[in-house]
Amino acid sequence: MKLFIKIILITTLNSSCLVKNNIVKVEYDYLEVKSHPDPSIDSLINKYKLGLDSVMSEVITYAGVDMLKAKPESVIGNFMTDLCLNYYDSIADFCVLNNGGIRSDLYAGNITKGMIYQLMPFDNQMVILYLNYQELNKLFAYISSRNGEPFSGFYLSIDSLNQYTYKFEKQISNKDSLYALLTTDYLANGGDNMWFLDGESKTFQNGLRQDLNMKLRDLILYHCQKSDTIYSQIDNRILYE
Amino acid sequence: MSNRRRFIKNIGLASTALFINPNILYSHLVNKNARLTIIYTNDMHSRIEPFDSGKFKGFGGMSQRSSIIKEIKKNVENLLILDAGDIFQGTPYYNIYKGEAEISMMNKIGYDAATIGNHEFDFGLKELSNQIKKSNFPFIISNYNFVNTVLNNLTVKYKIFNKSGIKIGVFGLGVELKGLVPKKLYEDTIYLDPLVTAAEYSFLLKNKYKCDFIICLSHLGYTYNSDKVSDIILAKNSTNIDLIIGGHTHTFLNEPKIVKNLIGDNVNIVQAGWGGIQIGRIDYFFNKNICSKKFKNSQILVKKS
Repeated sequence: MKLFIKIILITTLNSSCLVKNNIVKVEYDYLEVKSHPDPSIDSLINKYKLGLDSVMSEVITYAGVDMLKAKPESVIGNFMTDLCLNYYDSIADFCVLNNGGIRSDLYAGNITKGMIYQLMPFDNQMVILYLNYQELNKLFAYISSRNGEPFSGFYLSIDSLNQYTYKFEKQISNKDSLYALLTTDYLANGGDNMWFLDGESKTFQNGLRQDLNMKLRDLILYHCQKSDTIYSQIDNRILYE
Repeated sequence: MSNRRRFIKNIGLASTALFINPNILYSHLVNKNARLTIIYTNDMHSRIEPFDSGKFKGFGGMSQRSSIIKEIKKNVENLLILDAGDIFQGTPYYNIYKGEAEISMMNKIGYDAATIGNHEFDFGLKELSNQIKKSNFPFIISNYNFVNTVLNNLTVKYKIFNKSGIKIGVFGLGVELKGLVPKKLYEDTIYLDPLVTAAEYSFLLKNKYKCDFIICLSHLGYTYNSDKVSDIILAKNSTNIDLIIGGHTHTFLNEPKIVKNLIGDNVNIVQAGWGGIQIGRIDYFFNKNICSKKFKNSQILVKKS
């Protein structure tokens, strides 16, 4: 009997404390800590940094302006899509990349190879997809709904009801022709939820896709290396009315 | 109610019922007040050196983070160092060394566990397996099934840590890979529903392994404008999770988010931005019956001296 009472006591105790996360006091704070480097980590960093810096610290061009990420239109997005479209001008009508794939900003001043690796760390390759009219409109609707994605080669204007109108810079013969979209294999494979570009959906099989075997990063590096100064600007290619 | 919701609800009720199950008597007791300190990072994105330009110039750095963590280590008894994924991708260290640099430094700092972010797949499964083999800490991921891939048996579904008698169960959740990571990179990885997986593993940790405290290392993302599963949705639909350490959305949560779960208990959600600019620290103060009565969350901005 004595034992029984004891058990009940413990049970009560135990179950009362098993009220989960029975927090009566919450505190939070925010501190800035000036931290000295840790020599044991620094020795590891130095080991890796030597090999890295010999390649990455090379200055390859000069940026005339800050090129920052932004929506719906950004200087860095215009810079990247314009240089891609210029390079493939003879075979592509327009270029679309994704804001999520721009991984850092470029600031006015010297631009090193390493900065371009930070801007585009992925090994994404350039691809051309030949879109029909319906697919083209899905893409524009996608860009409109995402509050803009980086593009080059057309103007897009979106009204308050999310209805868009577009105008290509190039003359495209008629509605039945195919539109040559320059993009990355990441997006062409349905990345960033561009499922309507997904090669597996069979839409872009049958010769409607051309892999260019050129990395986006290499294209940016090539452009920088041949330019004394790189530059871009906002030109209202996308407008929300 | 969808089947999934019903399942989660049922598993929740089952675990509530177990609270009054007599087998609780055999659970261990801690005979003193104890403090558990958790240090967390997420989305470090190969930021080994402090940022050298832009608005974060002079912040972050693996070496600087390490010094701060070493200092904290000196003053606490029960410490867990955890990362919520996207260790890789973002600086040439990853392009050139494929993750070896990041892992070697996390080994040195003494991380206890990490989960797998979507960018861990960026050089494919074989390369990820090479890096996991170099780590001294486990990669905990419960909702990616790697059985048909080279990662089979290289990750764990959960891990239990024992700190001064407090049993801490940790499981991990990854974001949906389709549409985010190219198929050729994740190959035959099977993605499992995060809410169902969370219900299963938190139930197991709570009721089979009698954990006192359950942490979800999540790379789902803090919240979205859609119904996509996020840490907020996970917290609301959970029963046994105490703390969600999140990532993916690069959210600077300068105060912990407290959400009521399915049975009205509090779930804490934390996330420390990205790039190692901030380190999160959270201290739970347990009384002798393993109730956490108080917690303190600090966001530590890492600044180069």
